[in-house]
Amino acid sequence: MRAALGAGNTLSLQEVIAFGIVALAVLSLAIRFYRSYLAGPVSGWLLGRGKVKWAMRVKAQSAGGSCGNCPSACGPEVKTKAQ
Amino acid sequence: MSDMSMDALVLVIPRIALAGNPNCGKTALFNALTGGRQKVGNYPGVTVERKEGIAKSRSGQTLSILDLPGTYSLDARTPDEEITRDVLLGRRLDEESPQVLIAVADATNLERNLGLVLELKALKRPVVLALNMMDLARSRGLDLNLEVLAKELGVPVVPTVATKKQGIDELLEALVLQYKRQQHPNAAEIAEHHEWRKPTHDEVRARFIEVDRILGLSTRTKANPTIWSDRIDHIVLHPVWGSIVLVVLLATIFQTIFSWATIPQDWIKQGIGLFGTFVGGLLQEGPLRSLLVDGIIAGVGAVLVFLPQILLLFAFILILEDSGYMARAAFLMDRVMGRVGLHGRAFIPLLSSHACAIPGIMATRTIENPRDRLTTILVAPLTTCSARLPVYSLLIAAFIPNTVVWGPIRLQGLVMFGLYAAGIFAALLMAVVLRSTLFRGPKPPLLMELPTYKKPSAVNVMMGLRERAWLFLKRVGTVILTISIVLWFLASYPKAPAGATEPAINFSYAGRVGHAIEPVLRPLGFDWRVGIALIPGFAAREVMVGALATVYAIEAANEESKVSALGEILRKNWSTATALSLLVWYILACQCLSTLAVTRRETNSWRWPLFMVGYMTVLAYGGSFVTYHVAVWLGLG
Repeated sequence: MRAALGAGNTLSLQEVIAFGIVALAVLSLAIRFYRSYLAGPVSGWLLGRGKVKWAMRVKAQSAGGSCGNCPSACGPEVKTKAQ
Repeated sequence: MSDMSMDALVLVIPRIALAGNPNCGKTALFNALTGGRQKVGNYPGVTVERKEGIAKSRSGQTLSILDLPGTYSLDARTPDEEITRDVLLGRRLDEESPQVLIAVADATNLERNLGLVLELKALKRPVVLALNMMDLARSRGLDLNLEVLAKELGVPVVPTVATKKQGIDELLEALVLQYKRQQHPNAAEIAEHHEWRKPTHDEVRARFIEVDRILGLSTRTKANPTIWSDRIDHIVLHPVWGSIVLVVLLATIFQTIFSWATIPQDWIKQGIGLFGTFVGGLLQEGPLRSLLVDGIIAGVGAVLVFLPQILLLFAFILILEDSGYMARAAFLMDRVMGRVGLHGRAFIPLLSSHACAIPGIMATRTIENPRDRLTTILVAPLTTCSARLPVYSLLIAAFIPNTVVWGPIRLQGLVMFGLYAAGIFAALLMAVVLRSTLFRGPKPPLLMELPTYKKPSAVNVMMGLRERAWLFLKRVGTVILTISIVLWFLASYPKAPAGATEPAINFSYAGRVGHAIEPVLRPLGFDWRVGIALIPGFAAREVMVGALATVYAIEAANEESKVSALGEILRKNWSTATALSLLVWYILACQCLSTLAVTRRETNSWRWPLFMVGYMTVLAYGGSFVTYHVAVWLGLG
């Protein structure tokens, strides 16, 4: 981080808060990427190796390749609330 | 809840499956039963996979309801029909067999719908017949003796109007009664019925003779043929008049999107500008202020202003879907589709792709032939999805004068229409290439049921728009917000060394990456800033607008830049040739990771998504290169 700030610079309060927000954003993107693109194939791979329990656990974390642009067509199923 | 108690709960709740012909209102009934908000449309093939929800009867019984894709028979021909057949026959390992079936039938077309009801009854599972769209059938003069119908079919019959939630309580009670009264078969008994075999021609004929017999006994007055519907079809399905109606309709939609959306867009722009000034005034000059104003407000605000246009586009799409016109458009386009080697059924997936390529690709499950299906999947992302709309709108508003072309037709609306048409043209052209090289074969004829015209339901349209608005805002508040924050960091750090005269962004990570890829993009008329914006655009196309806003805001941090003036900034910095080149890039490039993921899932191979991204990148690069150089040659550079 210091390298990114440039030589001789120290973190100001504004920078600490800003970098905290950036870190949260990176974490959120990483989780989203995992759920959207990695969990499905990883689950399939685990299933292929006979690790059914782990495969189901990972599959439950999958977002089903949803892009968020379509209302309902994405994902293997949608559970809706009771009437 | 522990795994064991979850299992126990699953066993206690009766599993009910909805089955019926396409477009008989299964999903509308599912929504009415469960309080769900699944997409419904007045054309066949809206539901292509199972959906599950929970319903509760008045007597307090909880039921698990399963919505399945429509099918004309258990003799499945397409991947979506296979899902229905396999679930109903208990052939799916991951799916418990339903204990009670709701046979949904369109009351206006019982001659065809009752065939499947008899097939379902033959599965020896408790069945309740939901006679849906009874209001429409009655308004046409149909008078049925429901008691005779129930007696002859041997199943309880409940009249319903799913869109108005009529007959829902009665249906739920009938389901509970059927579940309790009849001893439902155990797993071993169900397994016996798995031995379903394809019916012979004679058996199919006998089934429909039986349908005629039952209807002959139970119909007091037959429904009148809908003459007004035929009169409308006489025009809208005519090869010449129908095509003119379609083109005029689409042109009107795009004109309206531009003219009607301007006022709410200006309000949003002003609101974002004021908010940026307010937040900027609260903080001293520094990184946090820059992140909030140049990163978040500039990036997110630049995309948010397109909400009115997106909602207007979807309002038109929802109205056309609900009215029954979409299926007519598919029928009309079959001739064009046939010439390029696409199956007529490919029209609905391609049309759905105008909202988003993902439901479009999934809708290809209604296509029987794997060659036709794969061709449609591969060309679907070329049609203009709603994520491209912000980019198109931004560039058109910035570079195309809003001059009157003829009467109410203005140049900006016409260019937007042209971009959508270019997407369709590119998809059809690629279909020709694919069908004459990789996927050669005969083109099967289109057999498509034309739905009844209906007055679009205001509730349905409003629900659809609310859903769209929520999705867009969610996307802006998640993907676009986080990417804007990360991009702000990458475009702001490392800071410029002391005494540097160049803009600070040149020294940043993003600036370095942008400069590194600039030689590849320069022949297309793109500079390093466009390069920076194109990269996050792969996560979501519209992010590019926010990314450009962030990059220009950071670059001009010391100047008097405003987030609402992105179009103005682009006009000052870019030539028209660059803008045209970028528009062509956006028509042709596969800038969507989600599309690749769903293609992988639907084709069960990495080969086709890789092929898709490869051919589309080559097309986009070639198209942009030619556009840029022709535009420069024409003096627009």
